[in-house]
Amino acid sequence: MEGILLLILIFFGGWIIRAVFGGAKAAVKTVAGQGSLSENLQNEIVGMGEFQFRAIKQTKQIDNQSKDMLFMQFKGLFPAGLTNRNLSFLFTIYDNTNPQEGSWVICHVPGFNEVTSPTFQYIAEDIPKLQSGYGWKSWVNIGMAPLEFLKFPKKGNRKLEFQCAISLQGSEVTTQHGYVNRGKENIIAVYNYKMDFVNQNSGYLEISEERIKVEKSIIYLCFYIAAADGEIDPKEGKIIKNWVEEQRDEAPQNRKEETKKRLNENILNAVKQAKSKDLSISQVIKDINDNATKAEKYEALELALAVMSADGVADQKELDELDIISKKIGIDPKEYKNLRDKNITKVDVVAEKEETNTGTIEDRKKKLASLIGFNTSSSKDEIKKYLTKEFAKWNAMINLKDQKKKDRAEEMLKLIAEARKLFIDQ
Amino acid sequence: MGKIAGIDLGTTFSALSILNESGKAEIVKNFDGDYLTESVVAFPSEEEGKAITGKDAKDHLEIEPDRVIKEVKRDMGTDKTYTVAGKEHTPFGISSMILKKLVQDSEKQHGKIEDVVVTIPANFSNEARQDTEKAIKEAGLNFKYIIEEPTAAALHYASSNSLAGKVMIYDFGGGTFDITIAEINGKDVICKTSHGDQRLGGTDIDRIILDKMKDAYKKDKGVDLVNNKAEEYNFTFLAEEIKKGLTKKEKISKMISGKEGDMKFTLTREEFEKNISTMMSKIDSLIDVTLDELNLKESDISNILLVGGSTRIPIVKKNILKRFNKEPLTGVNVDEAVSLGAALYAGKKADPKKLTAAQSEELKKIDLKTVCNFYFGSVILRENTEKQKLEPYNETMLAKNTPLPCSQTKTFYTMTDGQTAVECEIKQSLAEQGDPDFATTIWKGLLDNLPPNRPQGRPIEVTFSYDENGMMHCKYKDVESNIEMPVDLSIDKDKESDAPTANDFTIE
Ligand SMILES: Nc1ncnc2c1ncn2[C@@H]1O[C@H](COP(=O)(O)OP(=O)(O)O)[C@@H](O)[C@H]1O
Repeated sequence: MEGILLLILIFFGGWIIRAVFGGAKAAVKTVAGQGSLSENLQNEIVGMGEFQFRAIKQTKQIDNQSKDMLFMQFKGLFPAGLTNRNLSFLFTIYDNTNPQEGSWVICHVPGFNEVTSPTFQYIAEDIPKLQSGYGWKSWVNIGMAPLEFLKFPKKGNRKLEFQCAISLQGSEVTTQHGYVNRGKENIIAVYNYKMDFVNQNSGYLEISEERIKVEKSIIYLCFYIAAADGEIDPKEGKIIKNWVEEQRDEAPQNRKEETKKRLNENILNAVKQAKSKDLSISQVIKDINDNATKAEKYEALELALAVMSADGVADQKELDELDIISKKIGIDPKEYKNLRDKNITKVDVVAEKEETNTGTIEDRKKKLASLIGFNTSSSKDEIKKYLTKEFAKWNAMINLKDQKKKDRAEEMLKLIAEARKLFIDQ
Repeated sequence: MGKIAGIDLGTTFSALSILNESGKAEIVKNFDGDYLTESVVAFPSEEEGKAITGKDAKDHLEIEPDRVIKEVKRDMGTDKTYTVAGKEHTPFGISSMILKKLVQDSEKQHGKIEDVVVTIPANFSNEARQDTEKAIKEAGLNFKYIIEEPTAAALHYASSNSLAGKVMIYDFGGGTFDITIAEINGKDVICKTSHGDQRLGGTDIDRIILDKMKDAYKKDKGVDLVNNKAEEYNFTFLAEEIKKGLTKKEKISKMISGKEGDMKFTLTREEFEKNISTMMSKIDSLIDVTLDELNLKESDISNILLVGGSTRIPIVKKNILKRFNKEPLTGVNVDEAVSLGAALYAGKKADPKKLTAAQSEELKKIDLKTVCNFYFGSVILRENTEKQKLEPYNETMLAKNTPLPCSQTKTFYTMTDGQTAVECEIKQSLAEQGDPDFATTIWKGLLDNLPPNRPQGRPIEVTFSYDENGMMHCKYKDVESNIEMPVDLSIDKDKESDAPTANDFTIE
């Protein structure tokens, strides 16, 4: 089995997955089940104490990566009501720091939320029957939450309350935003645990300072690219404007005005600096590296590439700049190449035809290298290898139904053949 | 007993071969007395409602170019249509007329044809393959199989020469270029891989020469050489003549006459070769890709077989010699190899009861093994750990070059609690393309009505198989409920074209 691979599906709740930790559930489950249940099972009941519940933050190795997890644990003598039955443990987390603001804890990972909302929930049903007269001597993991995907209302100190509602398997209890809305009568036992917790990340009710900086960097980056070929094309500006509008629309009602003002200021300054060539791209790159998450780096680069292709030509200078920037902000070269190619398929023309080219051979060679994406100083062998790979890829696209993509693929093939002639044959 | 035939349905020329009584393939002349029939259909105004096909149709280009349709092969699998005198024609409709002409001409001389195999380029898309099937059916032929042109050629060469080892088939015709590597091992012919370009052929070379003529005339006389479709065709013929002339001579001069009088147009072979150098580089790139895919070096190729009229161009042989350090194999008629091989294949695929003892004996000398020509995949959602988000991904189910028949089953999982439907999308591509945007969707549907109220993570089994006749079969199955959805990828039998069928135009 190749991990959890998911088919494209029809969503039920109407919400859309944004950032997700796809393989988490399967991977985490094995960690939880690593013998801890049976190893800790004891019938030496003297001094074992009553059945207790707690939550604890622990770092686990999952797929060779350290992941912070919140584990929900039990220990102690099994209470009579819970023994010899097939139990279902339903875990929820409330943020009680400021109930007026809302207490939901959100997790967009499948398997870690309610059917009808992204509110965190974890159900453990694969627990062996608890035998009467037995208990767990040490803390045993029953529930868990992937910390990096939990979203609290705000940053800073949080007062969390963990709850575990135990019912019989088959007598379902359902919850809505963390609160039981059906099957209350089926609950056999409820356990609670309070925990003070420091949330390092911005909450879903606020926009972080980092995000404000990242938005600014994205605007500056895009206008820098738009101006790289000399002029800012209205179509390029339009792409940036659309993105900025999205940011405004996503802001909460009471902060729309302030968001708009801030973004507009950034636009005015960015355009001014880009036009007068005062815009420091190294500063923009530094800001991105200091503040942006991986996903935001891709957001920045994808937008910048869309700006590159917006005016209908694959501009050599713009591509050269983007190649360098993508490296400097640590984007995976393979992912970058894919995004780059996607945007090349969107332009109207990649380059002037060989027959109508009026420049020198040297300029043409440089141009071809930029457009196809290789370094002119590489060895003949390396170039040939690269061109072969590229040719195979674009050649595979000439059967696409999308006429534009097909035409660009044909054009790329011609350019690659021309590059082969100029770099390899001559 | 009915005849068994193989048809090379070419971009510019088509040919038909039949299996003779002794089991050898034999090319058949058409009614004009030619082995090759022009893949051209005309609808002359003087005989409204009638269609003419072949040489007469090509000649009609000079009279009424607007009523002539040619090179439809390049449009197979697309939505393109051609309108002549208010009537719309589809690429497969025109192809069916060409097929009909070939069959009728042969039947009048050799008797009824029972089974046919028609050839297609190796890189024909699924839609283009389906269009070819439609053309065969519309022509009223008993459709047997389609086979790829280079494969057919390899079969022919294997039957007529004692070849061994890894053989490269270099097929450069009127409209397409295809490169195939086959392994010939005694009687076994195994096609290893194919690559090609459907827009790289002799007619493209003619266009390059035509452009040169136009430029020269404009420069000399200050006016355009070509002002209407008829002139365009006339000068294209001339361009083709010059091209062919340069096969034998170092230099060709022709008078071209336009509005501002005559002008002598000269083209040397050296200039010509420079003009088609990028095209030749494209061919070299395709060879790069083909060798690379099989991890082969030039020296691993034991023989190079030439197929198609454009391989007569001297630079083709020169480049091959330079690159492979070997003379390509000639001697067999390059224009005929494909249809001859197709006839052999038709014999191999025919009901053994229909074969004579001599035919069966002869056909035993060859055996064909084919591979999957594309990557086939199913779209899934997968976590991109680098971008930290879920992305659609084209998961390969069958890899290109897997020997046929082949089959593969993979298990995927539903994603949410209560999920009752799974979206299924089948992709096809010539290279492994993880990004679904870069692969062609050949089918899309829903596996739905799955049981409600189940948690996420329900296994869904996906099976793709490819049979020896190049037909794909897929199945999506919910393991727990046994609900399954087979996918039929053969042509849509109910979908009739609105365009007139070949039967609307009887050919005399
Ligand atoms: N001597 C020659 N030199 C160059 N090209 C030639 C020569 N003879 C034929 N051709 C070209 O070969 C092409 C036809 O090749 P063929 O294999 O019959 O085509 P198809 O792809 O239609 O099967 C035409 O473009 C024709 O101009």
